[in-house]
Amino acid sequence: MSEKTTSFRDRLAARVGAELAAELQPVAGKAFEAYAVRKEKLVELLGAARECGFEFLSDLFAIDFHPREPRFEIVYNLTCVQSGERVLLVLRLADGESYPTATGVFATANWHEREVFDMFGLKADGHPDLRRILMYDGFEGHPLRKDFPLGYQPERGFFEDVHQTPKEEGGPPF
Amino acid sequence: MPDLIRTETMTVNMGPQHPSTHGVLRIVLELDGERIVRATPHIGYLHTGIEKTAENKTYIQAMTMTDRLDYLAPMSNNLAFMLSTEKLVGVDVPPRAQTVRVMLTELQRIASHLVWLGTHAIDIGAMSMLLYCFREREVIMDLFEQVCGARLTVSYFRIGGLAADIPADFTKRVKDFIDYFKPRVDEYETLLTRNKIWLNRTVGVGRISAADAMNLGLSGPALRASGVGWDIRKTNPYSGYEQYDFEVPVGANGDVYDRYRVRIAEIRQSVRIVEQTLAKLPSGAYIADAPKVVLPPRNTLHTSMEALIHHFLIVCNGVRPPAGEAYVPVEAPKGEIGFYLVSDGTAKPFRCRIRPPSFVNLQALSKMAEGAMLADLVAVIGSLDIVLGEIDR
Amino acid sequence: MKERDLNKLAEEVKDQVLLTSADKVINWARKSSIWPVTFGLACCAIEMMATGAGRFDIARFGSEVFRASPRQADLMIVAGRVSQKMAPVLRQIYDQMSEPKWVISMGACASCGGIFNNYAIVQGVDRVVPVDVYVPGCPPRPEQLLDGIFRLQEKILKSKGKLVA
Repeated sequence: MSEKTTSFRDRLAARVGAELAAELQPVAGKAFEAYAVRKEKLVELLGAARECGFEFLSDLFAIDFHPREPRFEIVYNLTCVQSGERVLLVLRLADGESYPTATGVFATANWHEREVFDMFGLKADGHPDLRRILMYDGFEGHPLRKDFPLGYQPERGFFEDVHQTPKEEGGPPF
Repeated sequence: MPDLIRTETMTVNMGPQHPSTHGVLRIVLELDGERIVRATPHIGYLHTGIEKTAENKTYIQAMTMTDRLDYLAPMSNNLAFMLSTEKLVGVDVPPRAQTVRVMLTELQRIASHLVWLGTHAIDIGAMSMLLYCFREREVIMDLFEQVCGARLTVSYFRIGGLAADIPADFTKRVKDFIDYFKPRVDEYETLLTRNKIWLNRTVGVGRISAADAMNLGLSGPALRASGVGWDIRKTNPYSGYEQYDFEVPVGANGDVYDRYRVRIAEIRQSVRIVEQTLAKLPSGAYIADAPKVVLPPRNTLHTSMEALIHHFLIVCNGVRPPAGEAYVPVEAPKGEIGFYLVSDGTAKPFRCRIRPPSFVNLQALSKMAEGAMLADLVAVIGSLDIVLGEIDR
Repeated sequence: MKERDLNKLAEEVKDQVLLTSADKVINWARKSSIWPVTFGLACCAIEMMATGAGRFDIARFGSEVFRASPRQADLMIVAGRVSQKMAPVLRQIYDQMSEPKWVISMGACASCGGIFNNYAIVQGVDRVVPVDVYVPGCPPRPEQLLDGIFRLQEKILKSKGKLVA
């Protein structure tokens, strides 16, 4: 709805200062106005975005561009609830690299970062409670990585400990 | 004296099989007597791998899985997925299809809120609400069945429009339903809104401030009950929502009672929108005319060889949108839902990120339940209106 | 006793006493009040709720008492997809139910994995618990679930020598 008159970077420069705004590198081809950021400046930029009116972290997720390098992108979908405008901050990470947690700025990032860890294996530094969230604890691998197969996983003795009734002849397979 | 008595908190497990957790949610509670010190939700018991599976399906195939996300509002999920796909593909939807989409998603909002009202009330002890709410919901299910043949898993929207035109007498049946339904909402309110027990169980319970709600990413009625009047239908209108006259109900206290009031008011607003769609429903095509990417109307398959070929190619090979990314947020009954689609030019989405409103809303549970009585937890869970299919995906 | 009185007694007894086998009467009692455990997993659970509500009214067939505790239930309706994470929980709930107990696998996902064949979903709940009746559909209509319960009732009626199941 809102026709953007000034870019997010200009607004940030006016509000917080040109030095921080220079950290924003425009990215083309994203769903909204998007900027690549360095992970050292991420938390500072998220805080600055909040001051510019983007005070709602709508979503935080990762994309695996395997085999491109750097392989992962973490996208912060920031929303201004007054105007409905959105801006994306993009963090590019190599495999095994960690990134700073956003939970200090937006509490909602907590579960999103846990999900990124569960599904992609990327760790958020300083996260208060970084555990698997959707898969069970003994699960091996990170399902949403492109090198993880889709197919049905064999149980690998997963149900052995819960089997209390003896196996019947011709009964269920285990 | 209190220093001499050693007390310790007790840890209690709730779920994943519990009638009040609305599915397979598990909550580990740390209790000090009857007071909740900490409530930690554990999720993932319904993890279906929909995001991963969608990467291995064509766009139209992946849409069928969105029905099974928030299974109380499949129309809204279909709409969100289709809007993102249409943005990738670059198709315009004809006005008739847009109006029907709005009509059906608003009916879906009513149906979803009815299930919420019934289950929320039965959790707190108002038994009969469930029966009343399901009575009306069945009529909406009948309407859905009439347009697409399914009650729950509708998959009715297609890229560029609808799977089929609405049946001839459909508008009349919707009108009959609206006429029948309007007084029913008052009926629900007479049962609950000023009911002493209901007030005691809900007013001031599970309170959350506007700042906390924003910080925790709440959206939809749960956010609006805290006093933030953000509705995507107003700020980023889609499917022609800017043409309809409706209000965004906003609460003040952010407690369970306000969330109840906001949703009841939303039901009334949805009724208003459905009435407006009935009044202005334009005639014309129900699906766009773009043979390379949009399925041809079903009846042309019998007469046109070209349509048959296009249909065959789209169904077998899938639609190939140009490389790019798209995200169109939609105001679902539970809050903001959207699909962040990344296309690499092939027929299958490269990445299909679901922004699930219930997942984000559930995070607020710990905050809301802190310091509350154990019995209030059930009221708080009910007022969040969560659906586990969407949380766990 | 006179013969006339005996005949009269026989007449009266014929109207009031029913002779049958123990199996039959016990099975009849069991099949007429199958109490399901409240065990909704996914989409099918909503249809299960609809079956319990006014229009379809499962109470007509004696199964309206959804018990929250597995120890008070006879029937587990697995309504929805079973994830790898949920499967041990499901098995535990099944083990907690007291005998005799039955399982209805409701819907395509519970029966065979449905449209989800991936790392997360158990391909059929019969890999975890024995299933008596499979109800197809995605999700099955409430009538289909009712039909599944009828089939289960038939099955219970025919079971033999299961005083202690």
